[in-house]
Amino acid sequence: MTVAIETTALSKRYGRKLALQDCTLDIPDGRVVGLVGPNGAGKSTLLHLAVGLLAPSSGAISVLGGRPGDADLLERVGFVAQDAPVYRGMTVSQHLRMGSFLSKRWDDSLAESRLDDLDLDLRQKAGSLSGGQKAQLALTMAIAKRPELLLLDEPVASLDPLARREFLQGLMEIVADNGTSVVLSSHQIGDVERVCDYLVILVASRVCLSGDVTDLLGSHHRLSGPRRDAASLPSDQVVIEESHTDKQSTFLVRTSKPIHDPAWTVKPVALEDLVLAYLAAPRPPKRAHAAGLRVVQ
Amino acid sequence: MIEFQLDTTSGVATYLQLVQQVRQALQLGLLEPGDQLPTAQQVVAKLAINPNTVLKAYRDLEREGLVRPRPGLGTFIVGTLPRIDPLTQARLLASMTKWLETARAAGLGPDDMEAIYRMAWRNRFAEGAA
Amino acid sequence: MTRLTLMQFRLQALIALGGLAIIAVALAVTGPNLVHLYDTTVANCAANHDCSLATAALITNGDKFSIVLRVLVEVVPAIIGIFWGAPLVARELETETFRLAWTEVPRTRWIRVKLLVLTFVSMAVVGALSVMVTWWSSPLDRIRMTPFTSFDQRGVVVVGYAAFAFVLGVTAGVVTRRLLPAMAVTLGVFVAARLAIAHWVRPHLVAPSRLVVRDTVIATGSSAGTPDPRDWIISDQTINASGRVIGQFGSIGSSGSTAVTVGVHGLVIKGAGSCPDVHSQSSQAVQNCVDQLHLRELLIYQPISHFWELQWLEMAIFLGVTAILAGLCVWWVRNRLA
Repeated sequence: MTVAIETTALSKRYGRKLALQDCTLDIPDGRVVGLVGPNGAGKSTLLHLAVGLLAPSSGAISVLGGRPGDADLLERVGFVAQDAPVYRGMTVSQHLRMGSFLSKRWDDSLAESRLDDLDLDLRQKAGSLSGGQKAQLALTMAIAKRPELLLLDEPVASLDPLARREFLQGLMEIVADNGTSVVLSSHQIGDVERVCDYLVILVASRVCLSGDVTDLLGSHHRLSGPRRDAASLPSDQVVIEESHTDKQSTFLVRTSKPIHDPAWTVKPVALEDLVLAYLAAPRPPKRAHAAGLRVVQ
Repeated sequence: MIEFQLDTTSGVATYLQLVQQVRQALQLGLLEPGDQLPTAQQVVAKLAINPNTVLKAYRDLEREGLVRPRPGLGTFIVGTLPRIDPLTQARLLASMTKWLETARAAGLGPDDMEAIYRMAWRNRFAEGAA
Repeated sequence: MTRLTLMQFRLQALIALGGLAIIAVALAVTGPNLVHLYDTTVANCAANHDCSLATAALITNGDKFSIVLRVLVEVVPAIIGIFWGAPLVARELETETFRLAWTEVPRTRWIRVKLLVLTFVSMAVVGALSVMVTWWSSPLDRIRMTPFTSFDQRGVVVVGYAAFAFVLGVTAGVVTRRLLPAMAVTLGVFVAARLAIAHWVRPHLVAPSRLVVRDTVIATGSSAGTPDPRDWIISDQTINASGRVIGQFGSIGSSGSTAVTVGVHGLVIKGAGSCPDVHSQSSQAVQNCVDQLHLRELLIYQPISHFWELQWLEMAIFLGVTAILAGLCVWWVRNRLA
């Protein structure tokens, strides 16, 4: 299996502010990857680095084995920025012409049939399109060049629920037809749960979790039982979240080993709860193995 | 052709829901050997889910011997499941409804009823196959 | 990328072509009249002894429009810089469409092609305008004998100004990243550069000629004394016998720039000396004294023969600066906008 995006200690700094730090990822291809995290966590920065709109401050990134921003790589990677910028004075069909001028692999019939299905008027100026229509136009331009990888920066953030659903339906159809790899950043964990099979969680400019959704769901458990301290748990169980009443304790743990302790009621964790637990966890303590709450880095 | 539904609140994994819906359709006679299942493209275009989920469900069904993919043509039903005879189904539905009314009258809520069901199921079937 | 550049430029191209067409029509309608007038009156004026009348009539006829055209040719490069150059990158950055454009094509190729294609278009538009205006103005130019006063609007320099203005605008947009500041900077720098080069550089682009002539205080109605009336006089200074500059234009006296007094020692010319035997300030007397004291005029000028050399050199300067700015643009886009 080849790698879609590979980063090594990637960092991006703006003046004194670190937008992304020490990011090391190995994102496989052929997946729909969800990039989640709060605002300002570095999701946009990572996507912009992957498509060559930003240059790293330190570290390295390679996309589909190539350098972001190279001419031949831009042919193979489709990108839709947040709020899908389009040229307001150009018509829809002029945008398609633009795509055909710039891409060697441009598939005009695919673009036109897709816009036809979406009921977009080719002669309409892009400035007068609705948010959902702009997003669909931008996505059409990205996929009509038949990319191997699609990078989408919060593509549905400003869409109403119907437009959002239609966008995802279209996107999944593209993935089903072409096997395109997708990395999309999103706030909507519900959407991520629906369409993503690989997850990267970014918090405060760092990666705090990444992996296959099935593996992640299989390795995280919610344990509830009589009150006890987190420090008393076996060392292979990393506590992500804990809550206690005077009689009972509940832990969300990550472990690769089966749980044998009969005192526990063991339940699976829904993806949404898992993500929220990581988003809420405080930043890791300076010491590598502090007793008590330990958060995965 | 069967049309899949997705219940995001049930807590059941998506691919399992798809498998269950195919099995139920077989049990109720809505699907028969030779019928074609919707393609992954068709399913995701409606449900906006990951195509791999659909493929995983179809692979599970293939492992159970219920479906077989025909390259270039689609995925087709090849097996059967014991049908639930509509008369039996109606009878079981009636006795179940009566049981529910009895439990309700005794002051049981839905969780209590479910706990009793699970206890009974464990007692009766725990050692045997599903 | 070339096709994209032209497609995105279609509106500006239409406006430019429309403008050129309107001007062409206006010139085509009025031009032949002027030529006809010239042919019938000025061409034969020497025989009819009414040259001053004929030329005055021609000038009156064409002057207003000629001023409009001069302003036009001066202004069009600046307009190109402000409205074609400044928005090129600044608008992409402000509307964030660079996130679309620069993920379809590498940004360096984008800027290089846009710069190349549109600079040539700018030069062509202004070149066409200059050719038309030069054609229309030729009757007036022939009688005016002052080609250097329209140096800025004739010949090849205009094309250099156009290229410079456009690329200056693009650079301003790249560096300021916002449209309005870019437009302001473009206008300011363009005007400043034009004025600076015209005032300080152009006179010395080719070594000027020097000529010393007799200081004639009495106005004779002809030009100061260079070989050809079309020469461009850069400076005309009054010098005394030892060569020191004591004034301008050879003008001495109450209305001139070198002071004159009459006193006990006779006529005193400031900075030059005195003529004891001259006791009046009449023009004749002053001229007398001027000759006595060997006052002369030092003329530094560009002869008409240097006209084209100056044109090509000034154009080369502007094109050279244009190339440097273009390189800066490409570097900035590649390294400072990521």
